[in-house]
Amino acid sequence: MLGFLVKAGLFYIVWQVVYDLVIYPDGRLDQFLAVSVAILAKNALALFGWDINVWDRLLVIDGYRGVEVLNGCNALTLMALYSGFIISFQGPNKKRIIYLLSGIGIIFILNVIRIMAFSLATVYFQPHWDTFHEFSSFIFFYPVILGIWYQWTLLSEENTQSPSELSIA
Amino acid sequence: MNNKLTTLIIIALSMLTFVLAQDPPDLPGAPNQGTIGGMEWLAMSGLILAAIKYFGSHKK
Repeated sequence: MLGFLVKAGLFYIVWQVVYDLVIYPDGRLDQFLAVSVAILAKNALALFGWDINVWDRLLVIDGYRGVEVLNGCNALTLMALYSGFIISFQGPNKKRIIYLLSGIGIIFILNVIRIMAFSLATVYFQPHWDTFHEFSSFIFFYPVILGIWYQWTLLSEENTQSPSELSIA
Repeated sequence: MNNKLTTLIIIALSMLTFVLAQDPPDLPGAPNQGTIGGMEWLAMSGLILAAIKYFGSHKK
């Protein structure tokens, strides 16, 4: 348990330093995630027949308030938090890579769906937008992430019962 | 001469983007901002999950 705490703590310290000193000043990763989420959400809603426009990080259904995908909305921090658990908790390394990549992909897709839902919320219940926004992470992200983390711990248990595979944890 | 012409055309075309670029239309209000909140709850849940798994497997 102490090993997990130390590894997780170190991971988040390194992540925060790298983000503050490299990723945030550079800006390209944040920009890429925000713009790609906005464009994909726009295209998905357009498929369903919505008259929707996107300018950079701004997503607007004609005649309604827009949704802006800021750095805090692009799920990069959430991807780091998710990865920190998978990296710190013991388990087989090959599957760790699969869990990392697929988990990050799932978070990205969930964020596109969340931004689509936000855009529709501006049409159907703008007065309750803040409430919806506050609870959106608990609806879209956290059950899925906790589910994957739980699966990862089960996999780790199986792995410790058959110690043939090496693990960095 | 050819080089100069090419340079002029490239500059003119790139200047055109400034002229033709359009601002987004006025919005009915300031855009909503979809930040992700409550991550501390997720982190705490992860810690609890790890603790349950660790102490649970060591009890057996």
